[in-house]
Amino acid sequence: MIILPEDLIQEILLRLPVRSLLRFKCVCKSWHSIVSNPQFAKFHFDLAAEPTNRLLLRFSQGSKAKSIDIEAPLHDESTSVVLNIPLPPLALNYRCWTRIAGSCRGFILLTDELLDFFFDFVIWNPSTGYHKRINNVPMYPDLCGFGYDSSNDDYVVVNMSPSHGLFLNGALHWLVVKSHDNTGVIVAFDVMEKKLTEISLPRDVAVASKSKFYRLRIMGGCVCICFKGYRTPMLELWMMKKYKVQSSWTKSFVRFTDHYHSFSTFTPICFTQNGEILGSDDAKTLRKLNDKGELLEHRTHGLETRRFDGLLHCGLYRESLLTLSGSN
Amino acid sequence: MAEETESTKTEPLKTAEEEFKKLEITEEEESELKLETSDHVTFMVEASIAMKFGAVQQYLEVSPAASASATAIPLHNVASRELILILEYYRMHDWVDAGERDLKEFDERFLKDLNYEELKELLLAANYLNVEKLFNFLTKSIANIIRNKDVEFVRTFFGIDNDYTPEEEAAYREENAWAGVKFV
Repeated sequence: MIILPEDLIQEILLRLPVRSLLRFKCVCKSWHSIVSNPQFAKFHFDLAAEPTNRLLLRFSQGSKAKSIDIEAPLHDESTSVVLNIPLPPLALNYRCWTRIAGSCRGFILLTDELLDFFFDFVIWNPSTGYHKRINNVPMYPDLCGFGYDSSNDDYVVVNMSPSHGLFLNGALHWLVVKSHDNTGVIVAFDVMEKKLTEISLPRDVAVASKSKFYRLRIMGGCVCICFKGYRTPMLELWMMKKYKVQSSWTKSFVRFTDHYHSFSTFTPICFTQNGEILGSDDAKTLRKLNDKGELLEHRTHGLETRRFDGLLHCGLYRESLLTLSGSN
Repeated sequence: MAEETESTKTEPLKTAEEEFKKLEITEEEESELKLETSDHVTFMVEASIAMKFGAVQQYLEVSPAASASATAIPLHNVASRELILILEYYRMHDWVDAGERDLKEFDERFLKDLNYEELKELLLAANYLNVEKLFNFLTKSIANIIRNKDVEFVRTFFGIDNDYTPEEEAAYREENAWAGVKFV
């Protein structure tokens, strides 16, 4: 029997998905300590040998959140696909305004209103259950985003704009409308340099984007703008293929083939590995389409119905073992 | 007519001869290094491949004289059967005409021919030789073997003794049970 030294064991473990690693903590004490080591968690995340993406769905009244594997069929109920994860302790026992306010590196930022404009924040890793509370913050919860500063290994909660900011390339992104000329623009906040920059929208979109049907998304590692008008059988998808390169905005259409979709307000959430589009068209229903717009499957989740903005309240996250280092 | 056939005949012969000469020259130009495995077998290995081995590079930095073919570079922790496999892997992956599919097929076959012990042995050798590509391939392959297996399989695979008390182990299993982590 050949016994591998611990550094080689560690190299093998780095190439396993998060769920296997959690299971293998039980192998022996030394494996437990390798997998629990924050430095290992960081190497594991950065190597990204087996990245697995999940979607956390808005909460029911209970104390659990539902998390689904975006690659699996929507109706697959097996325990490896659908997880019912206990929420971290929040102040008000999971009242319906416990919200997902951001997502970054496997963490979900939750907010919970205490009193008028005083909030509890919880930075939570749904994969491991790790969480950290930030209590009694005076702020407006809609004005917030969650990002990561790689130079300091710091996580940053930013308080600024409607809807939660999307994190890409070291910056948080929001779609906003300039009040003086009513044109839309993407605002990017670099969390390392603490600097704001603007990314212009494609000209066709800039004026129209004040419509609330336009959505900002990070899909396929790119900044995207999506639009689906009511009673139109098409989804417009603008992708900025090269980050901050204006000429790289590329427009594509997904033409819905079934009648029903013409009347829905489908909004994409992400691409799966196979290039399918996962999205939602009301507060409860998830749909998967192929790139030709054909509906592959849909599923209505029996979740609480209170709408925030008419869309499914959810958070996309990549599973990680990360914890917050230090006390910031 | 006869003259013509004569000349067309000699033409290809001549080029073949030239080709052969060229081949000889390139073979001469391709320098080789002499490597000696732990079981004292010596191998003449193309320098282009041998220089991919971190251990060989390091050895030559310390004793440059060994690049002259007469001196063998000792590989203390690599047996001849492992070096044969490593060379097979690198010759295939170095081969310019190998397409992506060829390499995939080759990798699959390469793995299939190894049992678990040989796989671990080869990983140790790859680690010692400091060969990045093969090292990544082997660690990834072992990860793929164990990723969906249960804890007991993993202990057997690596020869690990369970150092938890039954109570501790039950507690850890409980800790992750909510996450749908199955313990078979």
